[in-house]
Amino acid sequence: MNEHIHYIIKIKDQLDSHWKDWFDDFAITKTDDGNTILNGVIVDQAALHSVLKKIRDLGLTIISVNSQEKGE
Amino acid sequence: MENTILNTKFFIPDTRLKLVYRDRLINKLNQGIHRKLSLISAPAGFGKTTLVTEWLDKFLLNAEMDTQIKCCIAWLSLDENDNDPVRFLNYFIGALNKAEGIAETIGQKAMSILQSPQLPPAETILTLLINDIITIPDQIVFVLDDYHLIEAQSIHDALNFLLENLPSQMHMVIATRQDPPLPLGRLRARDQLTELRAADLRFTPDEAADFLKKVMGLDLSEEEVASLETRTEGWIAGLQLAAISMQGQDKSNFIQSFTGSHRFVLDYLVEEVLEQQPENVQEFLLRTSILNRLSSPLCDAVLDLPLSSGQETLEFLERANLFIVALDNERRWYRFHHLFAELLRQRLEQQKPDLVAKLHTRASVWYEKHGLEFEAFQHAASVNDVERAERLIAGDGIPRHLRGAVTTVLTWLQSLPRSTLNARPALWWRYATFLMFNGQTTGVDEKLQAAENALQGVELDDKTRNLIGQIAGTRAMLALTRYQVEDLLVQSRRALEYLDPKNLSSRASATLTLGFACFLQGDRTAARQAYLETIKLCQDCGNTFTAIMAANGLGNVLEIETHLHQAVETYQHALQLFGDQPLHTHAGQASLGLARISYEWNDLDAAEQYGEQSLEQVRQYDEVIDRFIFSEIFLARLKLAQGGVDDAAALLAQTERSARQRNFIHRLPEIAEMQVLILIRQGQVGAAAKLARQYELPLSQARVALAQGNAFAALSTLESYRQKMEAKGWADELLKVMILQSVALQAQGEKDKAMQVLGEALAMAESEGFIRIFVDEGSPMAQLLSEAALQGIMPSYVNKLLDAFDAEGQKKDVTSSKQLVDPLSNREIEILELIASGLKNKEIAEQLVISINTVLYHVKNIYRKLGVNKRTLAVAKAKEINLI
Repeated sequence: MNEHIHYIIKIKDQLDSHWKDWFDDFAITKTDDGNTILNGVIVDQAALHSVLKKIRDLGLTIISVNSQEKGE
Repeated sequence: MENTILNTKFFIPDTRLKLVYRDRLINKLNQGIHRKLSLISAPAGFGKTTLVTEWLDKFLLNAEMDTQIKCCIAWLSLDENDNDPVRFLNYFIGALNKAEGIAETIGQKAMSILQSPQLPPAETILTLLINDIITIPDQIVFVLDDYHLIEAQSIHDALNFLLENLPSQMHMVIATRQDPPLPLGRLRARDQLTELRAADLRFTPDEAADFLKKVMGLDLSEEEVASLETRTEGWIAGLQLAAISMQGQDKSNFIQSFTGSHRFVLDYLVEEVLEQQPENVQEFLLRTSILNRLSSPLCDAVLDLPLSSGQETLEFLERANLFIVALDNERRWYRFHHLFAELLRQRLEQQKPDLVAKLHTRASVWYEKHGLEFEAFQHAASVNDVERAERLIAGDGIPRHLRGAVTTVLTWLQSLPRSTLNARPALWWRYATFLMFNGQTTGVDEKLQAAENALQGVELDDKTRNLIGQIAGTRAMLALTRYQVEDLLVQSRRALEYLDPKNLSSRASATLTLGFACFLQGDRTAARQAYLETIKLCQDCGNTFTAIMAANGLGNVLEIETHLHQAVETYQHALQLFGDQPLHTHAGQASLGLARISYEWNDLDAAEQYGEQSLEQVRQYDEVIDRFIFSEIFLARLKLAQGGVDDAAALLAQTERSARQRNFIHRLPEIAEMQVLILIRQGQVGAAAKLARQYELPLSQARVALAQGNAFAALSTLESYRQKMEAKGWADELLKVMILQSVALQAQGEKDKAMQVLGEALAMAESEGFIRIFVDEGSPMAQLLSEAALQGIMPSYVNKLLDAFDAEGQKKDVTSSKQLVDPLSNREIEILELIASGLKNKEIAEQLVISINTVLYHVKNIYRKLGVNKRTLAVAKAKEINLI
């Protein structure tokens, strides 16, 4: 099963794009409602948890986590 | 140096001087003290630790003043490396011992078991600990800080067990960023849980106002306070940083910008605060952000500036309450508030990416210089300095028995591309060994093969030869775990051929495995040599663990070669090597050896002591180890000798059940052998015959034949077995055969031959003082020995054995006289034994060189005293009361 899945994580408040490296090459987009979207491909569940952990350790608030099969 | 860092984990953080009163939270915690757990679960920056320390401060004060309850506080700050259950438990017990008012003896037994290479289930260890805790008269509060760093299920399970069996005087506090996977629902339902979550911990608008105005001394309007509170949502860290920012600039401007921005609060504020700091402080913070722990010498090393200012800066930061937290009273070690470390690191990587590697290297060098190789490795690995990292894991500094350290190294090795590993074959080998330290055998062959492949075509110098030897040594270890004796032999020899002569430690290991291989192949002489060699090598290189295993092996070989005195010396030496860890699992083998020899020398009290000691020691082995069976079989044999036939049978039945349950089928023959002895003693010869046949045990089959009166069959079995044993040179088995042979020959009426064989056996056995091997044969042997005495064969030894028989008889007298109103005399017992062995009155008269009338007289008295009228009944009754 090809696990490479596209994840879209919405975070409260805005992160500057220089955070991209910290989040393992996730694209960072600021939304109009003052939040941030982290956008990237994750290899597997372990990698996903790792990203969520980074978010947690920074004290960021997660609004939503959505996935999208690559190619959809 | 190491101890300083370790102790910091027990350090209870200082309470700040000025605090916001959080009475509502303190009250909640106070009320919950009678429950099992207080859980404080909220993201970073909500003041969890501060709250707990403040509560403990107040609680202690009140407890002593109001109610005179003495309260002991144990604190454990967790970190990522604590995911190893052994390390966790070690620190857990350490924290208890560190607590004021808790004796150092608490948890000692549990602590010593944690040293064993093969651990019993965590519950066993915890039960020992809990039993100690129960004895503490005072209230205990145990705080686990940063529990979210624990991810190992085994630790969650252990904590769960602890909570379920928590002594009533103990209260647990867990501070964490995410709910721990413990049965919180159940605890809630049983009113055993106090919970404080983000919603509780947030500053209320009043508390925020209190904080900003009173604690931080800011003169703000209600509106301003409100907007700050809204922007930060009462997040304490946010308010703190905002307050610090405001102290250095125009407040209303700040508030406007801050509240107007959507930027991630922490990012925004940290930048603000940072920019207000002097240049050197900013540099300091950025550069030291790579460190997990900060001390002034370490910081100076990392900064590498002409003037060392580490200490000053640390103190400045602490006073300003900026970003760092003290880890001890002496102000030697600090760490960053978790939030800030991440942010600072991120800024460093963004602003000065080229500097990062240099900083880590400086840190690695400093740690190595101070003997902290694991931390040095971590820094080297994080910047992929392969050469440095490899060197560090090759040293002895990285604790192999700590799963946390081993998995960290493995993670790094796994991340390396094949090309890197191929360029360094030794690293492939390291990879294999670390997998084995981690208890894995899967994948080890591949890594070893990869190492060998990488060595193809490489010039054979000393280093590569040594590496080839190391690879073979590891292959030997693998073979041992798989019981592949041939391979074990081949690889051990290969290892010894290629290993550097100066590599004593590895040579010792390889020699040990060679010893095992020889022993498993039945070559006792070669095994003995190998073990001796191993011990010598270990003396020179201080490898105690290998020395102990070799001593056990050597003792065993000496014992079965009938060199009992030397065996005792060796076993005792092995036990001494354990020093202050007498409960160690491997000590069990030595103890059992001493038990067996004490038994043989007829010191049954010592035998019992050592036997029980061995059982206690080997019980600590992992469940998949079958060592306990040997101890149990021995104790059954001892019971038999002490006259408790039925007890022995019961013990052995239990052992058999355990063996079957746990699928230890290789031990069933040994159990059966003992069972045969017991069954014969109980008169159940048919059942004994069945067992002896089933497991094809020659000596047992011979015994059964004798019990059935078929001396001829017995002798035939014994003769063929004797030939085999003579061919192998197995002295212990030979002795057993000869003794049985003499008994069988006598039963067949071949007195002269019997005497001859007995004479040979006595000659073999005398110098090492064998006793029970004769005495356990009972009256037939007693007769033989009496005859030997008459013939003047080895008089002092024979008399010693006869004395032992007398003592046995007297023992039985003692027990029987308790049961008979009119006890039998020694002569009567003697005659009764002869009757039991099937002799007719005439034969008895001849044997004892008395008149047949005298025999009849004795027999009449025997019948009277036993209350019977027939020979068979007399024998049965006598056996029943353990008279014969």
